[in-house]
Amino acid sequence: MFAFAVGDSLVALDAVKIDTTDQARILRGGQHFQQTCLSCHSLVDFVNDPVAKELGLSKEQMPVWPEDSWNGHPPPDLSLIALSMSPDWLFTYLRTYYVDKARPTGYNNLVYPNTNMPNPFVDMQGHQVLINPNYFDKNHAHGEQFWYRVIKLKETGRLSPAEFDDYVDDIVQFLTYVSDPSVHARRQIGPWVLGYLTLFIMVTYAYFRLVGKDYFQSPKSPPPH
Amino acid sequence: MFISLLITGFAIFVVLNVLPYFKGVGAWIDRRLPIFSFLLDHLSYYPAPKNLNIWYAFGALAMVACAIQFISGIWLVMYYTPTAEQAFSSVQLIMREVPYGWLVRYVHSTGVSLWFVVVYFHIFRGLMYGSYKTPRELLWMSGVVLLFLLMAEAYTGYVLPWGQMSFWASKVIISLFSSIPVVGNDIVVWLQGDYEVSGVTLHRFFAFHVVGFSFLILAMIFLHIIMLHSVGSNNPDGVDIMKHKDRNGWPLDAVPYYPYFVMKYIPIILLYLFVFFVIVFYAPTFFGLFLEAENFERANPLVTPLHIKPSWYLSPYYAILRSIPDKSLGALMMLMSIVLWLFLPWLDLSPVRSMRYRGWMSRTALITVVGSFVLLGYLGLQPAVGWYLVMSRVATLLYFSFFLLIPILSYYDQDYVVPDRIPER
Ligand code: HEC
Ligand code: HEM
Repeated sequence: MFAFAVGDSLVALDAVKIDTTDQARILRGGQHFQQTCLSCHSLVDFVNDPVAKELGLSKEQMPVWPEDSWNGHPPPDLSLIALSMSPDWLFTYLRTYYVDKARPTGYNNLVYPNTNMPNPFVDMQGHQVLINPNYFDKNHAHGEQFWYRVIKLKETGRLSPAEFDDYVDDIVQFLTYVSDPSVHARRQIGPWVLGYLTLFIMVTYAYFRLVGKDYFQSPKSPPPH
Repeated sequence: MFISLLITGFAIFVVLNVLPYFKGVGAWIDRRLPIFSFLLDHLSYYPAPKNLNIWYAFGALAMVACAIQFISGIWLVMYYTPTAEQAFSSVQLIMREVPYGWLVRYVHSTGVSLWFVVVYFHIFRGLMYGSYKTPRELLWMSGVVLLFLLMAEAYTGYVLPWGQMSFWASKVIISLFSSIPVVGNDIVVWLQGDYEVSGVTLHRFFAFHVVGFSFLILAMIFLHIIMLHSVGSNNPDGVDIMKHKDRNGWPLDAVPYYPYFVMKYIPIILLYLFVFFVIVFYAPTFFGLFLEAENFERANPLVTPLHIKPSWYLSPYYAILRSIPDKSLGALMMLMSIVLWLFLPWLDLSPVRSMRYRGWMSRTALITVVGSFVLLGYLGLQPAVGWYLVMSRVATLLYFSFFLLIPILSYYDQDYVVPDRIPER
């Protein structure tokens, strides 16, 4: 999957496979989102969606931040984040926090350097630390190296690395759905419309070959008028 | 959407086939409102050269594309709100809450891009077969004006969702007007309706998009067809079919447009719709080319995006603008890159129309200008640094050299002999 939108990531983005048909997974991601993200991030455009209803998301639960809170960087609404960034970006961003004493939150990020978002996964993921501190000095072309060449898990959290990747993956699947819920209807209607057009193309083309070709061979000029 | 197109097509079919024989009412109406004889004149009695190929379907496709934009556009306007506060969320309202709103919106956003694809192919056809040459000079010029209007329509429409790129791209383009001497700054303020790009600008562009340019496009297409039908179609061999006519004045190498070419082009129009709906249903953002990622973020006058870039169909002109170090000169050259096409009928001195009978010099010139245009289109989407900048300067030079060289090349070129009648194949 390629996309033209990448922020100024310092590392290459991992690819994530989006499966919009896996409804159970989208719901699971939604539950994870409610547990770990909803305290700070809203999904305002999403509240009337059937999936939101199933999860019990409502407008009242959505946090509203004044412009000047969080030092002028309040947590943004994430209704369209998978489209304005990309699923790959999200998947890598959420997994590349590392310990950095210089930051007020104690953590920095490889994909979104100096992000103001505190690491939401400390207890699940554990701590990652820098193993290649010279990486930043060399002024690499953006996104040249994979993150695991730069940081490493030092202390495992509540989840194993594989479980944690799955957990984040679920959230990314959910946010991708949130960005464009029309995907279900599109997959449903698409084959019908295309099938109908195919049939129609075949009929009209056959008509042209059978009837039209003759006309071209012996064209009749129209009667004078 | 396409159902309504099919119904329209079917209605025309019925009208054409039934009403001429329907002496009573049909004749009564026709004497007072000559709608049926008009259709007959322009379809059944339009002499189309018998060798028209697939390239000649693109004009009809451009009309289909236009119809799609008008139909989907009307439905979008029903829910869209042209204010700085509401615009972005009203688009989300259409995408999520309005039944089938997503379909209408994706049809409209895919439709622009494909309209440009079609029109660029249409222009290429004209260049390849020398359709701009006498007696079709004005027809060609009306086409260049149409291209310009189409760009204006696309640009004003792009501002409406009020995303980050809407805002910043409009700022960049509007600022170009300030390089017009004397009145430049007044024009900028008039366009913006404000001293900054703001909600007033958005409302203004809404008016231009929905009423202004769209009606000019309709009027221009009408004139385009009138001009075409008074001089007649060119053809892939560039042979003048009007030289040999039968006793009734019907050109010997022509067949009536209806039913012959209608029959031939309907499967092609349906194929176009097929491609159209593959994109709408399975890749509506077309990998960030038809709907850019940056524009899914609400406009924010305080945060400049990393790279400001135009939509792909305007990127060649943007690449020209950036390749010239001086902004005013760049803006002028950007304008010239379209205006110069108006003079092509007089710059090309060859007596031969179609590339089929022209020598290697004219062919090389055509390949160069098309190649450099495509290259500029690619480069306009990349940041203007390093090799990209060098290449876009080379491509700009190549592009403009076409207009300087074509009079010379077409004059000295060794052309082949054009047959008198359309050759049998
Ligand atoms: C403690 C509050 C908090 C929590 C919990 C939180 N975030 Fe954030 N998030 C922020 C803040 C603050 C920012 C703004 C960062 C900035 O602009 O530097 C942010 C920014 C982001 C961004 C970047 C948006 C952009 O456009 O730049 C993404 C994506 C994101 N958060 C996703 C998540 C996800 C997914 C979760 C749940 C796993 C989550 N956040 C949990 C506070 C939080
Ligand atoms: C909105 C866009 C346009 C529409 C709807 C449109 C429509 C048409 C149609 C229906 C035809 C007749 C069918 C055909 O020959 O393909 C035609 C012919 C033609 N168009 Fe266009 N057109 C558009 C834009 C342009 C542009 C941008 C140009 C050139 C710059 C152009 C130049 C011509 C020429 C030269 C012909 C005659 C071609 C020939 O007879 O060989 N048109 N147009």
